[in-house]
Amino acid sequence: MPENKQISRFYPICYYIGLIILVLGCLMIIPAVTAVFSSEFNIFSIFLACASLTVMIGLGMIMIGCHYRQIKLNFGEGTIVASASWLLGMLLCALPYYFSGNYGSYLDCCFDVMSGLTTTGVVLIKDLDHVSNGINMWRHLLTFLGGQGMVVLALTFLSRRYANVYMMYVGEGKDEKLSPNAVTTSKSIWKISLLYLAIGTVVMTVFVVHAGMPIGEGFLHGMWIFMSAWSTGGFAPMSQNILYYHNLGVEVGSMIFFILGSLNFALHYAVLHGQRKEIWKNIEVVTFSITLSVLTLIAVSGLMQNNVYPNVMAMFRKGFYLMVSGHTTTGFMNIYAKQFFYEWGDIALFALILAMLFGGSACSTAGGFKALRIGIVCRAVKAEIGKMLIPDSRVKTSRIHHIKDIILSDAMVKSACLIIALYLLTFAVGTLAGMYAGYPYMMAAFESASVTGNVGLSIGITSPAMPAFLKILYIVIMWLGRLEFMSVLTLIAYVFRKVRRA
Amino acid sequence: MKKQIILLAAVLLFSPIRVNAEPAAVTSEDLIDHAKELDGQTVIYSGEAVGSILHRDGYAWINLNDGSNAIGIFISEDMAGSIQNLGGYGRVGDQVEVTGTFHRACAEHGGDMDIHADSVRIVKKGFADPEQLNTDYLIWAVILALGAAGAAFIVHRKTSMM
Repeated sequence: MPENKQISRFYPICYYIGLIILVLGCLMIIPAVTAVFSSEFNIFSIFLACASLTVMIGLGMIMIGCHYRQIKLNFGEGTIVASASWLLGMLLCALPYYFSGNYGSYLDCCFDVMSGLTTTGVVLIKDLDHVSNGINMWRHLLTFLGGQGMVVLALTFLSRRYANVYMMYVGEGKDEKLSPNAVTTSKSIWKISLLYLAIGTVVMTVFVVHAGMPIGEGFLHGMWIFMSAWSTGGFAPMSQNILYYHNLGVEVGSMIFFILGSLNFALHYAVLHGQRKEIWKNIEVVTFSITLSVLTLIAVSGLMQNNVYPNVMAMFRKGFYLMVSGHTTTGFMNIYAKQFFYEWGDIALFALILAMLFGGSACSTAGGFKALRIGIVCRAVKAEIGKMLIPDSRVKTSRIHHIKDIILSDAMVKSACLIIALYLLTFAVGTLAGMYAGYPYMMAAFESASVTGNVGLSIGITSPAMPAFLKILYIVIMWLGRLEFMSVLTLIAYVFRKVRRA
Repeated sequence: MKKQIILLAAVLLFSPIRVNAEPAAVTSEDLIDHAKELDGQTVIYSGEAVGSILHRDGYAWINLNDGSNAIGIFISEDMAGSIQNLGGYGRVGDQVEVTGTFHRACAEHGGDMDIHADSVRIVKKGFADPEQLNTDYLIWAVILALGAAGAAFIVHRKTSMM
């Protein structure tokens, strides 16, 4: 084992990143098999080649670090593993896209991979209506994987003896423990997701076939729409997204699944284990219900003011659907991107921007501030006001209910405020960059909120023609937003320190 | 007489009653960017039929992609029957021209932006355009797969000896 402490830290980090890359390489077999069944033999060759290359890189990293795998990583190093895996994973997962010829550049491929992995859902793919089943499977698999977390997936294959895994789990933006250790928690997350995958694929296939699609193609569309909905991803196999189906059933079915996907895995776990009352008491559910109701009312009033939709059904299928899609950070669309700008008006867009920033639950597939943090901050404000009304001699504690009753501490409030502040700062930077690229303020703010909250609704900025600097910035913003800043910032600090010492 | 002709011309010019002009040929960009102006008007739109024909009780939905966007077209089953080829991977769909009423937010279809077709014409037949097997890709795939298998063997031996 090397004497130098800093060098020795590199090896276990390398080992764990290698494991995650190895899992990604193995996953490429799924679209390869899909391609074979669809008689897409060039696509099969591309996936086989890219899977082999990714596996070799993963194995190489494992070989470099395997002697040091028992070294205990600290919190910062665990988060470096998570953030670096996402970065390297993006570069490798983009290879099949690049060779498929569906993209204008490798940067566009990386953009779509990051959009998929972070469950954002904005796309730069060209001519989506003529894309192969193999590539479509990879797009939706990436978003499904990203929703649960690629580190979470790799952890499910590790044994419990690794003490380092909890650090990596937290580094991926999840910090709930469904069971005593991170490996069994990861397994529980995947069990819940696979259970819903089975149910959701059947349900969405029924809806899609009822909408008029043939059964074979309908099965693939049903599965992909479910994967995207559950992961709050927003990808769809056709260029019109959900509008392609022109069907109420598909819209309602997808809405149910993306609401479920935006709920905390700990809540799913509690409900599946008999704690059904948790649904009504949980601070995240309560907060999400209140913010969604208020913002929907604002959006509907704005849409009515502009006479955007002719009746209640249209208001439900467009106004409400898109509000829920935005608030759960899904990004499924059933209108054209520019319709937001030309038709919705400032009030409705303002409500939708707020909804996209607020996001879904913590430890779910959703992005945004998260309902838990909003709930904590609101409760803290209420507690502070309450303190002013009681004598100084009295001490009053505040509680929140999240799976169990928790006393609200200053540390929790500080952490929630810090993350929300970082989200707002990122949103501001994204908006400013959009304006520098020549887009009007409202368009720039909308698209920035969408990428910051990992949503995927677009007002028309995201396209292959947008400036390269904006593509790179949006990639970074999606990455920061999904990993909730700290992991990425730790990685950047680590790289700077290494460069300075070198 | 001259005065009467001038008066008649003025009445015709400023009259709210217009003789219906020929429907305008539009693109998807026109429809989206000028939806309010075109709402309720008869338009001619053409594009490639993509995906599937979605059948609905004597009617059907088709989606026509003009290269920028795909627009949903609501047509009768009879009209849908004339479309034989639908675009997808390795398939170029029929180029279809529809004449129909454009709706910015259709009251009948949950606010969808759509065209209710009065007539459909196949401008150009679609065709199968299957991929040509790229042997270079296949050779590289086999070489890399063998390399990955070899690397897996070496790593397995190394880690099992530890």
